Amino acid sequence: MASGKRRVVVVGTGLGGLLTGAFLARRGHPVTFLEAQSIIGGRFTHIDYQGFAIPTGAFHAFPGGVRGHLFRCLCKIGVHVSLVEPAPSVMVAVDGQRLPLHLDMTRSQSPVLRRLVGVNRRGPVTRSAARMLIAGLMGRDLPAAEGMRRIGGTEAGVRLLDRLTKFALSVPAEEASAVELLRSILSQRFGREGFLIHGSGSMIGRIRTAAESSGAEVRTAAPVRRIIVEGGHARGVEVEGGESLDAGWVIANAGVRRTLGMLGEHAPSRVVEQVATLRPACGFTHAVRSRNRLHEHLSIEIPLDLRHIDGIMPVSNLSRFLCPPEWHFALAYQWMDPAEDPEKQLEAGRRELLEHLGSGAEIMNTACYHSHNPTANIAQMIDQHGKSRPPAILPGIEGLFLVGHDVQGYGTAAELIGESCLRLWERLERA
Amino acid sequence: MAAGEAVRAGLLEHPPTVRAELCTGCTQCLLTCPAGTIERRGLKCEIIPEGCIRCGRCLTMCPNEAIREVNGPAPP
Ligand SMILES: Cc1cc2nc3c(=O)[nH]c(=O)nc-3n(C[C@H](O)[C@H](O)[C@H](O)COP(=O)(O)OP(=O)(O)OC[C@H]3O[C@@H](n4cnc5c(N)ncnc54)[C@H](O)[C@@H]3O)c2cc1C
Ligand code: SF4
Ligand code: SF4
Repeated sequence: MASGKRRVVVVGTGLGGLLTGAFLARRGHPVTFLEAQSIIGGRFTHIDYQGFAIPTGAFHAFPGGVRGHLFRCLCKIGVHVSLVEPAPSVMVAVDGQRLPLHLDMTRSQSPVLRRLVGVNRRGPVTRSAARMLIAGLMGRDLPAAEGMRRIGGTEAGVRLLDRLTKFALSVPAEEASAVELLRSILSQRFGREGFLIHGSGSMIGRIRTAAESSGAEVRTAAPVRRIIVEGGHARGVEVEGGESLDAGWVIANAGVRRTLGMLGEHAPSRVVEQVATLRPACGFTHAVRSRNRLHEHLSIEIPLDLRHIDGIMPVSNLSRFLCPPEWHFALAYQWMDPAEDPEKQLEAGRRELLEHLGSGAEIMNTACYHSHNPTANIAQMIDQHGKSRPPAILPGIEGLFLVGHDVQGYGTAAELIGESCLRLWERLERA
Repeated sequence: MAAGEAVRAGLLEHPPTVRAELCTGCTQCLLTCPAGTIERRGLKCEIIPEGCIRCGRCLTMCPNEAIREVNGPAPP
């Protein structure tokens, strides 16, 4: 091994783990990926089912687009992806109309939407937002819905925000933190929502190729049971079946909860307590197909008049590679209220969705995720009122770095992972 | 899209079953089963043993360790 190079074990091949492992492999470190499942990519890939690219999580959306953090990560490891950046990012469906909404904040919103949300002038809005951020820094946060009301938003505006926080963050606006939300938006200021033309799975495949061409090894069906810690330093891991692998650095991407479990008695109690207060997230993903065109636009649709469905991605309008040519294909997201009967919500959501999409539409699959169970679908434990995610580096354990959706970082969805990866990589390069 | 692949049948001794208490209904097993013998029942997935070719794919696909072989060793 060249001097200064450390043996690296990456536990989990979610987006954060794959990106970080690929980065380190390209810097000359010998890297081994250990993945519990038989496929890689975690919640950011798709399964080919009868020719339809059905996601394990992510809807092939690439938040932040070519100006975002995730795109910068890919550039650093030499991975090329093809994106479409639909403008507007969002189409709000209300009273039979479709109103455009630009999320990148670089353009002024359409007057119609201003009327809907009731937010009319930029100056006062910016001033209120700044006041909220300052209050947040002093520990006085408030729910995003309340923040919307303070900047003069109407109830329709609050409802729209609620759909957006559910769709992007898996939390209702009444529970999302206004400050966290503002910081996420600011961190993504100039990015524009992108869409992966060849699907999330193909991007994952390219990251894998980048890692392997730099000598990394990928092992699937290899669940890690334990992270070995000696003298306050992570020394390696133990795979199910008993085999141990030595490592100078362990990159943990299996979720904070699971990682703490793998650390056993070495898990810092402060972080264990912190994670115990975070609430899990849950929801449904409906995969819909039709012989008829499902949408007339390329944007994420937010159906404001519906009660259960929060957002619909018109997949086949954005790419013809993700379903058979004779079909149209869309993915719908439904937030699940953990306090209500899940089966009833599921049925209501399905019924409502089919009605909304009109004749010819059929639901081919509904996937449910919730994170009470020991699952790869770790919670999107972010932006919940008054709660913060654990850091990438656990106190008292050297050589162990956490990456993934439930560690600190800003931006929505995969953008958050990109941002936290860039920060971690800088640190690793200095080490 | 995958360009076609061979599936090895008969790798398991018995058709596996889903432990409902661990299943989150993510449907990854259903989507991956080459025999199409996994069905969703409400929020959970179930394996119809008659159609099972015992390839074991669903076992290694489940993110929640909810699938095991009948009579096989229970994961710890
Ligand atoms: C329904 C839904 C829709 C979404 N849509 C989008 C979207 O359109 N765009 C977007 O950018 N983001 C989206 N997201 C968020 C995005 O999917 C996540 O941010 C991202 O995939 C999380 O990556 P991660 O690095 O945290 O790893 P994860 O995806 O959580 O992967 C963790 C990996 O660790 C493995 N693992 C677990 N235990 C072990 C063990 N013991 N040993 C070895 N390996 C183990 C797991 O099998 C898994 O592969 C969505 C999420 C959901 C749930
Ligand atoms: S063992 Fe193979 S055929 Fe049987 S249910 Fe699982 S995936 Fe389907
Ligand atoms: S893969 Fe596992 S958790 Fe998902 S539906 Fe199948 S049995 Fe349930």
